[in-house]
Amino acid sequence: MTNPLLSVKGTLISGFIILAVLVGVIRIYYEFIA
Amino acid sequence: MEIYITLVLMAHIFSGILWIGILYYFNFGQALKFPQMEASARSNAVTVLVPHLLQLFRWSALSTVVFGIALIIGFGIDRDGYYSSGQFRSIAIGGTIGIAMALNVWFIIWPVQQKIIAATRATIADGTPAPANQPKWARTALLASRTNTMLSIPMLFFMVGARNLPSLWGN
Repeated sequence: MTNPLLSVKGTLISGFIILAVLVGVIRIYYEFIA
Repeated sequence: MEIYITLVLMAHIFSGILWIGILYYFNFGQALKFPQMEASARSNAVTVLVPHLLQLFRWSALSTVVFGIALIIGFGIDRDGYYSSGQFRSIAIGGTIGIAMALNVWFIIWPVQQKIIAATRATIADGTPAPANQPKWARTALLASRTNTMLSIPMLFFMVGARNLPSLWGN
C-alpha cells in the first residue's frame, strides 16, 4: 500500500479534512453571504 | 406520533451502529491484521466469518437508510417548518453522505467481496489457483471501504450536529 491516503491514519485525517471543508463552507455562507 | 418517532429513531441508531461498527472492524481490525495471519486461518476467516459480517453489513446499511428516511418523514409530519430548519439541513447533508456510503456497500463492496469469497472457496475446495484479478478485487474493496470510513466522519458529525449544534446554521 503505497498511497498514504490509504493508511488508517490517512483515512482519518482525510475524513476530518472533508468535515472541516464542509463546516467551513457552511459557516462562511452564513457569516458573509446569507 | 411520538412513539413512532422514538421507535424509528431507535431502529435507525441501532442499525447505524451495527453498520458503522462492522465498517470500523473491517478497516481498523481486519484490513490491518488479515495480511499478518496464516494463510489457512485467513481462508477460513474469509469463508466463514466475512460472509456473515457482510450480510449484517449490507442489510444494516439498507435498514439505516430506510429508517432514516422514515424518520425524516415522521419529523416532517410532526413538526411545522421542519424542512426549512437547520436540523433538517444537517440531516440532509449527513443523509446524503450516508446514502452514498450505502450505495458503495451494495454496489461496489458487496459484489467485489462476493467474487473474493467465491475464489477463496474454490481454492479451498479443489485447490483452484487464485484468479489473476483477485488482488485487483481486494484493492477495489479496500478503496471503497476506506472511502466509507473517511465519509463516516462528516456523516456522523452532521447526524449528531443536527440535534446538538443548531448554531452551525446561523445564529
